[in-house]
Amino acid sequence: MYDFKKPSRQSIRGIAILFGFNSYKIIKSLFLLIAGFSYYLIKGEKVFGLSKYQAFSAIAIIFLFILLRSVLEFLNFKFHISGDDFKLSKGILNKEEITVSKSKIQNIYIRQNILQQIINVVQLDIETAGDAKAEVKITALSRNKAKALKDELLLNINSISTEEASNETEQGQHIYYRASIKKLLLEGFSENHIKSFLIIAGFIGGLYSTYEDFIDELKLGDKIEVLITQNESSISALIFIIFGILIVTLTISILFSISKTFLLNYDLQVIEHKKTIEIKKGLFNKVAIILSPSRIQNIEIENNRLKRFFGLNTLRIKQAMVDKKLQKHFSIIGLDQLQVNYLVEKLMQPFSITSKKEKPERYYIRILILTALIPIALFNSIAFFVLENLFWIINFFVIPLLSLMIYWKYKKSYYTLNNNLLVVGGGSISTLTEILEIHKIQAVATKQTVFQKLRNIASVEVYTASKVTKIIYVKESRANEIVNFLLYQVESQRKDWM
Amino acid sequence: MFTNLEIDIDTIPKVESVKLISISKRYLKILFINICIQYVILFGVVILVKTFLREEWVSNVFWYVITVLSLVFVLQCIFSILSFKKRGYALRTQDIIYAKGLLNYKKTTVPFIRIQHLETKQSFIAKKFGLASLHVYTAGESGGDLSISGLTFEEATRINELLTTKIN
Repeated sequence: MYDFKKPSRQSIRGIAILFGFNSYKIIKSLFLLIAGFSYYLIKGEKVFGLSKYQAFSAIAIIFLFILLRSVLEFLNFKFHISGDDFKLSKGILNKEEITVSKSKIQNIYIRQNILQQIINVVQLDIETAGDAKAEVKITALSRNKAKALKDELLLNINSISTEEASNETEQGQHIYYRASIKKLLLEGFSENHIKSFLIIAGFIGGLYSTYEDFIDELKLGDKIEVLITQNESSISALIFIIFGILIVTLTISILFSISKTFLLNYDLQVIEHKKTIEIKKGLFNKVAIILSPSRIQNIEIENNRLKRFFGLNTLRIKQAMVDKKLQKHFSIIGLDQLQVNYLVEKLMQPFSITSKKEKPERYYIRILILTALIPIALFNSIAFFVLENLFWIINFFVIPLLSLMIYWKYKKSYYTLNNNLLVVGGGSISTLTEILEIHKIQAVATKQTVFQKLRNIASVEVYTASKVTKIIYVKESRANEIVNFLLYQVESQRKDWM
Repeated sequence: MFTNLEIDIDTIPKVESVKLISISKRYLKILFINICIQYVILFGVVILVKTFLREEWVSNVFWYVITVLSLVFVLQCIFSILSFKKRGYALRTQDIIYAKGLLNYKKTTVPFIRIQHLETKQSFIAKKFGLASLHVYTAGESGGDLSISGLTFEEATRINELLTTKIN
């Protein structure tokens, strides 16, 4: 249907995409200038000494220039397949030739952002081994052409990818799981809202520092000051205001969590192929990811008390050699316990904690208490400035809270080890379970501080290609035993890690 | 025939009983030279500040700063001598072990079958002393890579060659 032997360009609609991308880039870099511009415009004064007519023609010229650039970029972007190589040439003045050999291709992603959805084209990313970021990005292809190119590229190459390619065929695939709107709402609602709050606070802080002068001009500060001085007489009013602020921030945080969950996970589908699993999700930025068991290094399961009640587990999959930007999409939310077990079994191997859960030594509690002294000192010193001599009151809230956290942390931390799997549990407010297959281990280390040496305690670190898993504060002899066992399994089985 | 016997933990080879080979004594000199370079720069900056900023507080503080810096210098020297003794490596038939750290002792083991590639490096100073460092890289970015410094150049090349044959 498509002949990839001859050099071809992107879909003609790609000009619009390039125009969008380029405009976005320019608008982003000139953000301050534009803010100032609109400020003058609203005030109705001359804009940077130009009349309105002149200013608008300047903008028009800038956009014309962007359009010209986009057209040239489009004309100079050509790709074709010759033999076993995919070749791409691009660049208007600085020409660039990229050659990717088919056998080096690790993964091919097809995705769509909101602009690409409107114009009805898809983006194709080709990822190669050895580099963390996708090397080739074709931003505008018709869906059929993208699929044909993907199939063509995955043809006759290494076993893993052909396996993936053949699984792509329609037969033998079915949707295993689809997240309902209700599940997404519940997921968003039961998020850790402190995190959302911090993100919002950071964002507002960032905005404030950028537009400090602008905000000063609005005299917001004066208005608040007036409001406070008016109510200063009654303490109850102050408490009322603080309470109100708390409610508002909590509501905003919850709304933020819910909309974030919605944006990222809208229409989440888990599609089961013969050997692989495909995840599709996203509202404005649609992604489709293929998970193949051979490349998976670690799996994490996360929930909290509230989420367990609703039957909501998050499954995070760590795959080797994946674009950092895409890594965050490697998660499935809203799964119940049975679905989690099924998927882990499909992606790794039967998972059930049959062997005994082993706990860290009590030394861990001591460490937790010592580290808790830092926030205690911090809160006390803040309280000293606000409440002055009554600062110790704050300890009535802080100490029980931290004690509860310490209790949870110790209670939730454990590890279990069998011939094939290492499972490590942890978390404080949320509960985290990390699973890894022993034959995928890259290296093992023991760690011990001088204080731990005195008590014969050590920690074990287990490295895979994706992350490090820690078994903390066990007896030194046990740590050595674990290391010896893991090394024995890796070295005697001699299985591939990918 | 496929067998799957239970593993007796006691019969598995033990990492902890392997005798580590210490690295070349000459490496200690390199450590000292590096520390000296750092402190020459630090002292130099302090003295420059004193000569060019002729203000009262500078001369008041000057001797305190010099004393503290000298103390830290001596401490760091003692530290590097003590931690030098903790550095060591060992080769087994299936893996390579490297340990270091005085306050925080860390012993890492990388199986040969997981090594991606090897590198022997020589800095300018190390070349003068006939030393080199060997870097052992595994897959992924989670850490777990080894870099053994303070090997004699012959030792480094020999291990490099040995490991190269083991990998293939």
